[in-house]
Amino acid sequence: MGNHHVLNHEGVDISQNDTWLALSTNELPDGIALSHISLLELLQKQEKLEVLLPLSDLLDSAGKLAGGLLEQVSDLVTQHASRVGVWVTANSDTDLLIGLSEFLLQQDLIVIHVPAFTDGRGFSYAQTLRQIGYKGEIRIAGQFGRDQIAYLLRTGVDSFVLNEHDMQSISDINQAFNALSSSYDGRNAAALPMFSGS
Amino acid sequence: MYQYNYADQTLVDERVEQFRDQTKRFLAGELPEEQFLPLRLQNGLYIQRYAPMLRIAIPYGLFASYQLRKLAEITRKYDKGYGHFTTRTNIQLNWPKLEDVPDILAELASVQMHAIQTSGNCIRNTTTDPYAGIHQEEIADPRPYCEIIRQWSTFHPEFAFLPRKFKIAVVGTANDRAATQVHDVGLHLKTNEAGELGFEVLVGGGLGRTPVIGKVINEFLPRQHLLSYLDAILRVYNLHGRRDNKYKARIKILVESMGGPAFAKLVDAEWEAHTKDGPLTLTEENFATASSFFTEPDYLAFDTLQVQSDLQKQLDADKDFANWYNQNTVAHKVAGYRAVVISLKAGVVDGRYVPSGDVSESQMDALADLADKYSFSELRGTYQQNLVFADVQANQLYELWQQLSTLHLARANINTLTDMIVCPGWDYCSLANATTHNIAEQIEKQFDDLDYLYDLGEIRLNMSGCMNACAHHHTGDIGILGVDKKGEHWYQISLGGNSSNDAKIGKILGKAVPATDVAVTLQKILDVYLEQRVSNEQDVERFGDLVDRVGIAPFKEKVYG
Repeated sequence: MGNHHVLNHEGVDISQNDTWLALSTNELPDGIALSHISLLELLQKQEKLEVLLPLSDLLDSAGKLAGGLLEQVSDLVTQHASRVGVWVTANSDTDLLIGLSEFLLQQDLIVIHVPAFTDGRGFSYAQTLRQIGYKGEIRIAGQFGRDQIAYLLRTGVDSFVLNEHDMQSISDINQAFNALSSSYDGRNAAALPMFSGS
Repeated sequence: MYQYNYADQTLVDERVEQFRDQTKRFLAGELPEEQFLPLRLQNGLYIQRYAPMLRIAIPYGLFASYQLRKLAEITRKYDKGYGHFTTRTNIQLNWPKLEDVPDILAELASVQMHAIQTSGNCIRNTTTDPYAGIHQEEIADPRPYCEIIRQWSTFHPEFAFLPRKFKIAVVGTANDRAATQVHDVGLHLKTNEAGELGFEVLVGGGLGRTPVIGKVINEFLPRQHLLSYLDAILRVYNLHGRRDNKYKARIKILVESMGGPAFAKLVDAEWEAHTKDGPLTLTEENFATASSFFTEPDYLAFDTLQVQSDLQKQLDADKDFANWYNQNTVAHKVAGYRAVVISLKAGVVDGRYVPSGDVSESQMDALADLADKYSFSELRGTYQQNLVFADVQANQLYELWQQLSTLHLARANINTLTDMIVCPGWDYCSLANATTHNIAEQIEKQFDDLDYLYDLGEIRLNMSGCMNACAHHHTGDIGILGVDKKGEHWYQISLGGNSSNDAKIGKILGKAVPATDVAVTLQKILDVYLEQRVSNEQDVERFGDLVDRVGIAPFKEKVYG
């Protein structure tokens, strides 16, 4: 994995304190977490770690949480983890979130991977997670751009994984996080300018 | 008309600064092209054949004289002294410089205007009936709902990177003057049996490469659910719409692929699960607030018999005025008033063809003055690329007509063959396959006799320079589509389209004709109409009705036989 940074909702670099590890898989995209760990390494560790699992690998062909071997692996990871999260890619089956609410609500972290700057499904994923009552952390990773950060914050995203190049090119991180600070809020009728009394 | 409050104004000002920064970073090489592209599009900026094109939003077509004066000033200062009104009631500038655009946007913001979401894969400017609020048979004024939709959709954080563009149109009368059936979402205001207001909701209409008529997915949506339901439609589209092929990415393809009922079911499931009765639910108080921005102007009371009698004298005395009155004015719900359609289809003026929808800076200034004097300082844009003064005193029509005439803005051709919808075509647009202006000029020269045009009656002629169909050629009584054949421009003709209540896609007449033959081919088609139409004392069969009745075979025979 390349060198990445995690920024919180205020644009503060929290990489130093971020200890999430992505479980190594063949299809792990770059930048899901700052580091990764294989299943074997995890099982050999004495201490419990914060581990991110690929949601799609936990599901059967019908999109349901799989039983059998996969469930056992997942249980094993959970036993060796202090906190568990999942990552999804906005490129995966769009019905993924439907029917999994109960499972998703239990996660400490959900990372949404954006496959392309113009792919806006991640915005709907984040907003839907908030609407089903998910209170944990939502993190965005992948090919999103600095100019989307303000919108992502409004759909409920808490933190952002950026690569070294993007970190260098954002001369004013504060500006990216505060763009259009007085924006209309398409999620709430009472907040529309003509109804908000402002 | 809606007036920006502090929040609106702050926001457009912030948007200008945001885009100024994005442009600066792009020009400095800090912002990659693939990210700047969607960002500039969402600020209305295309890169066209010779120069950028800036599309400025006119929300639901309604604007004020002071805004038009600013547009005139901008076209003088930053462009070549004219603007182009589009079918979606926006105005386009064809020659701005990329580095000037942030300054242009700042000027626009000073008069409560912007170019936000006029382009790109997001929710575009909502359109409506140009006669909103003045029609006798209106069920309800659509403008308050348009403004609610504008505020919801502008900068909606979830829907700025959709699979493809998304267009909404709203109408408040049974007669559809906003082509709602060929929009991504069409909303028809209606009342239920209990007398409550709501909407019939259509989805999945659209033209372009795959023309489709929208399907009703909800026969009555109570109005308090307007935004939560639209939100559900947009989310289903955002998550399920195709992203692998831009020609298959519009919502119409998604709706077609699963069928209207299945799509409706998905929307209902999404709505019930996540947005219904949530924070997007609108209240009666909200509707009262929204409606308060669209109150009636201070109409005067007249001795209507006197006004009518005076007007009749003017009509009798001046045939040109009578023609204009008959073609270019529309009934008003208030006695003593008419709506006036200002034709932006001047045709050939001083030997030069004026493209459909084009207005010069001096015409803009003059129109702003006339709007102040004759129509409560407001103007409206129409789907047919014309303008409307909605509230003109009948006793001032004659003097208004005289002044419009000197500006070449009183051509009495509304709803006739030369009231053409024409896209800019090859001359400006980098997507176009063929020129359109030279063909429109050829048609103007062939059909320049007004009495002949009046005899032909109501005919909608729409011409697009490529299959993207910006001029809606599919829904014209006569549609002309420019195609490229080995580097030459040819023109395919279709007949029998309609964008109103009886919306349908025209049928292709046959193989395309060369550029030189378009007007003569039209002449043959019109000859068939004049030969075969059925008339009685009350009624003359309209062109579209004849095509419905006899099909395209007789036209085909005449043109190719």
